[in-house]
Amino acid sequence: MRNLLRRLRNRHFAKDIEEELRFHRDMAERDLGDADEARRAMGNETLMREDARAVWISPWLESVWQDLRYAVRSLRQSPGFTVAAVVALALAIGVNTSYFTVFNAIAIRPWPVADPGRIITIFSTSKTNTGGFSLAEYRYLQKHTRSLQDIVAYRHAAVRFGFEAAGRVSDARYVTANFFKVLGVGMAAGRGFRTDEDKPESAVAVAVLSFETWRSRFGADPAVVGRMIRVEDVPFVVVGVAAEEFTGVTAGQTSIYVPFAAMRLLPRERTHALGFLTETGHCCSSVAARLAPGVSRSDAKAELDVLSQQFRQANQMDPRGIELSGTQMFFMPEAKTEMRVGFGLLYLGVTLLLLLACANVGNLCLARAAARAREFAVRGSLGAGRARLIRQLLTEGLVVAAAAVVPGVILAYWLPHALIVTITDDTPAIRLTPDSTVLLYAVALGAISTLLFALTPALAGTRADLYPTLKSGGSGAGSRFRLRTVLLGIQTATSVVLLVAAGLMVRGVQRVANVDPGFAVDDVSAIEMDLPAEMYASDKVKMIAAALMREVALLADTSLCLNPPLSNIRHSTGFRISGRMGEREFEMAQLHEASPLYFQLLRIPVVEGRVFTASDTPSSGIVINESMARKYWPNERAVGKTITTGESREILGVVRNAQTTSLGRVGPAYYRMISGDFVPTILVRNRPDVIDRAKAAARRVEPRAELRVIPLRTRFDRQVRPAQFGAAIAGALSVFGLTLASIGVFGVCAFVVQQRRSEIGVRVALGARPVIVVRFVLGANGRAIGIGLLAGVAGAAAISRLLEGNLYGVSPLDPVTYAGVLMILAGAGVLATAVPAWRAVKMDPLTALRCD
Amino acid sequence: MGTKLPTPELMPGTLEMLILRTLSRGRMHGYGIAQSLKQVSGDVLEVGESSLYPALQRLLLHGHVEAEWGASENNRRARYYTITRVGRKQLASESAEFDRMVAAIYKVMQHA
Repeated sequence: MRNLLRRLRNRHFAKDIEEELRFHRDMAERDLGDADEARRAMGNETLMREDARAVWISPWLESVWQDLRYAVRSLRQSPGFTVAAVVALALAIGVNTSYFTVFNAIAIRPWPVADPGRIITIFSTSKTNTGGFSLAEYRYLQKHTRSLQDIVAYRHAAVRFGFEAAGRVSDARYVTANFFKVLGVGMAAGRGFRTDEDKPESAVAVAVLSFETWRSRFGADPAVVGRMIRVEDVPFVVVGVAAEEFTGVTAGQTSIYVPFAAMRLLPRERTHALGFLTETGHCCSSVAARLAPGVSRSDAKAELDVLSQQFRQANQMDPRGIELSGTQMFFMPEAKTEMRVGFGLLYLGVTLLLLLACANVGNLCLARAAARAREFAVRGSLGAGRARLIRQLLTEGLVVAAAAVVPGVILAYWLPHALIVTITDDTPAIRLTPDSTVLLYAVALGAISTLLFALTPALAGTRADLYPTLKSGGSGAGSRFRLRTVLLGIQTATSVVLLVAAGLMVRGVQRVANVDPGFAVDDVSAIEMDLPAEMYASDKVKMIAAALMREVALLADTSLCLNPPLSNIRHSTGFRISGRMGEREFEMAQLHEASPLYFQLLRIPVVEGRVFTASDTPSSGIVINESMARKYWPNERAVGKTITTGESREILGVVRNAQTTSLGRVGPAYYRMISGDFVPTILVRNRPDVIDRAKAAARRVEPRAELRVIPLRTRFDRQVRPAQFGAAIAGALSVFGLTLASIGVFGVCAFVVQQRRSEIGVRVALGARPVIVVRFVLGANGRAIGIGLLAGVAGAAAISRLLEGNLYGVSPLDPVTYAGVLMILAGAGVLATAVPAWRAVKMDPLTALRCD
Repeated sequence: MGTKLPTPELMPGTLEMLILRTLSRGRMHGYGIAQSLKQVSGDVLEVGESSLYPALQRLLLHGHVEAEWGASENNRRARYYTITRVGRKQLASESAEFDRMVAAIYKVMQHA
């Protein structure tokens, strides 16, 4: 450390040593009586000065600084190259960094709590699914665990809250009282929950707001603590505001936290709340815990396995396994495969783009190195080692990469947010901005890119043939030439892959948009009734449902169902086929409720038997879909058979599969008549008079209800949107890639023409036909492009196999797509080579030969 | 002048020790140190400036000597070096180490 200070203090070194040496020389001269002798005795002064200087400033450091300054100066002198390289790299790095920003924020960022490395998430697993726990089991684990410092539970809810009675529906979370304490979340105001506030016997109406909610909906009013707000029209007291950095434990944003016990106070949940909070049969809440000091995850898992088994055996429940994970969503067992595959594919795409950009810039570097061959030869003859020259070129590359990283990071600040807003028409819940991890990633990308695009050209460009280069000004044959064609090939191949992927996805989207979902989408609308909060206490709902059923039965072109089609609400239920299965086994199917006109309204054809009529009651029977019939009664008539779901139900008929839950494959499902337990959705023919009549009927039943009319087509489009999103991104990537590649091919061809101007001039002067000249220009480049195309097609075929899940049935080897891509590329290639070739042909041979 | 015997190779670090020893007798400028070494060693050690000044810089870097500009005998501006307290400690330890080395070499050479 002291050395450093002394180094800094000795800045005026040069002057000092000069003067000191002069003094020394004068004294020696005086003593020896001869100036020349003295000078000779001194030895090589320059070297000595350098050695003395080297004590203070590491010579290595100085030469690096020199390299940097030279690189900047040299880059400033060729603005064309610099701008092209920086732009290409900046966009590629920007896209990659944007990807990583999203990936980091969603998939691998740990929870914003204290010491997240010691937090584990706990899942209950069986052979078929992974999920959460009942609160009863949670409490058992909490009481008996010793490997965990403490456990929390939480569960999602959607509630309306605000100062007025009817606020917006927002994401809320039920949490255990120890939630904030165990996770280590600070409070921006007020406090978390107390243990006595989460007792089912004595529920307390308290709530904690999230920081963002406090800021946006309550104006960051410091007096909010202690104020009364209305949650589902029930008065609650705000006891605290969570710290700013706590954005919740899932990707979605949570606006408000209430204790689990408060479930008993909310009208919609009141009836089953007590059971949910205390009984074993209910499910599912998510569970997380903090490991006790010194305990490892495997220890905790072992203990939890035992505890869970004890609990389940004591309560006659089927045994389930335990799985532990951390707080990063990507690694949780719940992470859907689609998420992982989606991220993986996107990563492949952006990496290919980066590769393309590097190949492009690499070619630029190569061309530049070739143009500077003479400069290198001179420096080499003056004594610069090859390593030094390579270091010089690498430094230039680093400067370019550094210049590209900055706008790339800026792009990453803006792009993810803009994309998500465009796609979802809504502000994203989580912060999609780069943090320090992302910045590190961007810098690493810059470094790797530099190696990729600068190293090989540097190696090739400084190859030591000094003499011929000095004489004739260098004309790029040999390994440099081969490298250029390799880079061209890489650019072509990656372009092919990107374009094929994009093309396949676009065709997939087309297919989805045109798919027949199995029911009429275009002329049906859904009317959803939202009752005022307090009506959701049981009896009122049943009365309203019954009244609605009566009214709708009188209307034409109107029917009822439980959940509107394409609303993604899954209602799975278990059933048994009597005689075929044991007492404890059951199968799963989707459950739908429908009134008689449902199938007719949605134009779902009947395949066997019949559907509900006006004279049927819920006990008359059920209707199943084709998937169910084919799965359980493959070789016989399903009509007339019975299944047991609580009671025995006869199958009245079989209908064609309809993708009413969401688009995609339809599993086994059955329909029963509207039970009247929940408020149904009204389905109507999309005609104004029918809609009005239905709305009037609904208002007669309950004047205070809010009615929302949504055409099914809107829902359908929304379902298609993710596919469109994917295709759009793939398309954008590939267009960018194609542009880069085209520019690359163009640049290389133009460069070749430039380099071999004299040759071309000679040939033209000797009477070569334009075709010969063009073929000469294209030469090996053409071969490189051809090989690149082949490699690209092979690569695309392999990679698109991974895409298969997202292609909605389009084959990964779809000939239309491949043909289209090849045509596009051929066209681009022709254009890119045409201009330089044209110029080559039109060249005046005299001018070409003269200026060498 | 006549041919000189080449200055013998010094073990690395020895030059610094010699300089410190010279300076322990009083402050001197660079040229003075070189002359002193030459005289005291009986013309054997002729330290070239190319070794002397880098060595002085190293001593400065490690804080074993201090330097300041002053007036020389003939009223010219010269840089005078003084040994510091740290330098004296360093000299003592290096000197002890050197003695140990020499004794060891001597023993080996004297062994029959």
